[in-house]
Amino acid sequence: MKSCAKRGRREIRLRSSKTIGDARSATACLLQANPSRVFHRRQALISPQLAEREKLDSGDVVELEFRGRELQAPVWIQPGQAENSVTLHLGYGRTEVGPVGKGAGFNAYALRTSDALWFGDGLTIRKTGGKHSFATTQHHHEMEGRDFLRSGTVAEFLADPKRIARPEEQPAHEETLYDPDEYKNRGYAWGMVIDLSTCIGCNACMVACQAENNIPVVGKDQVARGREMHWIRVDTYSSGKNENPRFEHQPVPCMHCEHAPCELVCPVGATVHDNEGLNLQVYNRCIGTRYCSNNCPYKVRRFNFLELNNNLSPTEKLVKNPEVTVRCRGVMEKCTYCIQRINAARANAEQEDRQIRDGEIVPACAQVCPTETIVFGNIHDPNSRVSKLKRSPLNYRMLVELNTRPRTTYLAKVRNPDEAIAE
Amino acid sequence: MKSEGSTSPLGYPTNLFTGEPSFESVNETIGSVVLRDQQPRQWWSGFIIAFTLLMILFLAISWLLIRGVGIWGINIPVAWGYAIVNFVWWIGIAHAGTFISAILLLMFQHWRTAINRFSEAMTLFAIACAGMFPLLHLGRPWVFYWILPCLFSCGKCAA
Repeated sequence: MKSCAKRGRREIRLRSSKTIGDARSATACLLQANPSRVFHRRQALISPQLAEREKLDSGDVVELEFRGRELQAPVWIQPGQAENSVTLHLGYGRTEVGPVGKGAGFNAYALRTSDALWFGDGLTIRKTGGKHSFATTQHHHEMEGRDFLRSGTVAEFLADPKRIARPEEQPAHEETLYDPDEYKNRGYAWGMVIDLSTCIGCNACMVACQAENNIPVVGKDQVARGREMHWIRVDTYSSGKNENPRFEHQPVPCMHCEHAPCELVCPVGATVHDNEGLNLQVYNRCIGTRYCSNNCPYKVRRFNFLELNNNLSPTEKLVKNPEVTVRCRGVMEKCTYCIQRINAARANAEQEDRQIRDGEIVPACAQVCPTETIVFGNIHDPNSRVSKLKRSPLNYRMLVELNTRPRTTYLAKVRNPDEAIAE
Repeated sequence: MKSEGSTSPLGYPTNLFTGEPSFESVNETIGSVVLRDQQPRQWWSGFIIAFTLLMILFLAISWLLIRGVGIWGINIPVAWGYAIVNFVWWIGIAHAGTFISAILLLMFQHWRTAINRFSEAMTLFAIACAGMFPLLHLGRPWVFYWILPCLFSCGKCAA
């Protein structure tokens, strides 16, 4: 490797895109619009060390030459990338593709040869001076000493079992300016637990949510302006050294706070609580003041700034889920815990004159999660899966000090690294 | 009645008209301004500039209503950017006008009348400008009256 570096030669690594595969899904807008918060796909990924040596910055367009073939691509500095390698994702830059895939990225197949299908030595990089602007949905990956995402090793946890769920952090129920018992809970009490140990950051929950809840695909231009509409996002935080960082993922849907800050500020009562603890958004009442979003500490409310869901052709209208309202411009929207599925289960249960069974309601995000990270259910039932998980010593509430009392809680991420390879 | 030349506690002369001019002559002087056939050239150039700006405002508002508040470059978390900046800007100007007027009154400055007139006019028009933005910033500005505590929201007319 050392000798290669001296001659300015690098290793090329090719891999298929996490979302659109080898280009077969390039026309699927839900996949094209799926944001990747760390591992950018439409860029040539380079290591921080290589960037420093070549004086490259994220967004610089470089000319890549590999065995006589040339390709221009913007680079992205990716901590954790092997020092002298450049990763390119296949699947982008299709020329014969519908409107969704048009102009999306560059075609990494142009550098692929039959003797170097996935990696090969002898890549050269030359800075062209061009600049490319990326649309990213998370601009900062450090927690800066805060603990939105709590994690630790098994040894740390065994040494101090109370280090995650710190009950002393939780302010008292009455510690609010408003009536703490304004919403008396009756019957079911819906809640969610997200197990960070199992989350692999695949973003499937985002795609499922978008399809289930008629969430518009806004396009790169709008994402670059900070107007993505996904009701659930997957935050990624990095820690550790730049050469070998650790990435941790945290899905963030609406927390359905029991003391919801959004509800207090709405001038038209468009966001209210129901007696099962759901934080509801009444689209018909909403006039779009955006107070609720400004007051939401988790920033999980989404606003339709332009006509992003309108002017659909009759065929496009058939794509929409008939169980879910299609929201117009100027209306705030957010995760509902898939209320349409709750109500469908309720109707079934009432017809059969029984309670809703545990596991009968599965929100779209939980349904597709390959690692069963997301668990939803009735927290009034002590035997439900979600109640059992909430009793775990790993269970914590994000931003607990605000006394929002979120119904969505997290199980801290526990790692068990081998002593020999742990740093 | 006090004698001519005395002043009230607020600093005004107690008797404004001592012979000429009379009420009629003052009325005539002010009223005839709008009845003049020809306006001076400066008036026309000022009018054209102001009228153009007004039309740009109407154009901008129409485009806002057609396209949505997204044209202001706002996003989440900067949800109010343009609207709140303009609102505060005009409110600030209105505050300044009121402040000038009030401080001169409270300090018993009897020469204040001319300044008070334009500072209070400034306040009124700046308030009107500021008032536009809370309405226009709404996602659905055509239902702005829903924030008023009347009809359905007060429970009096609830179905």
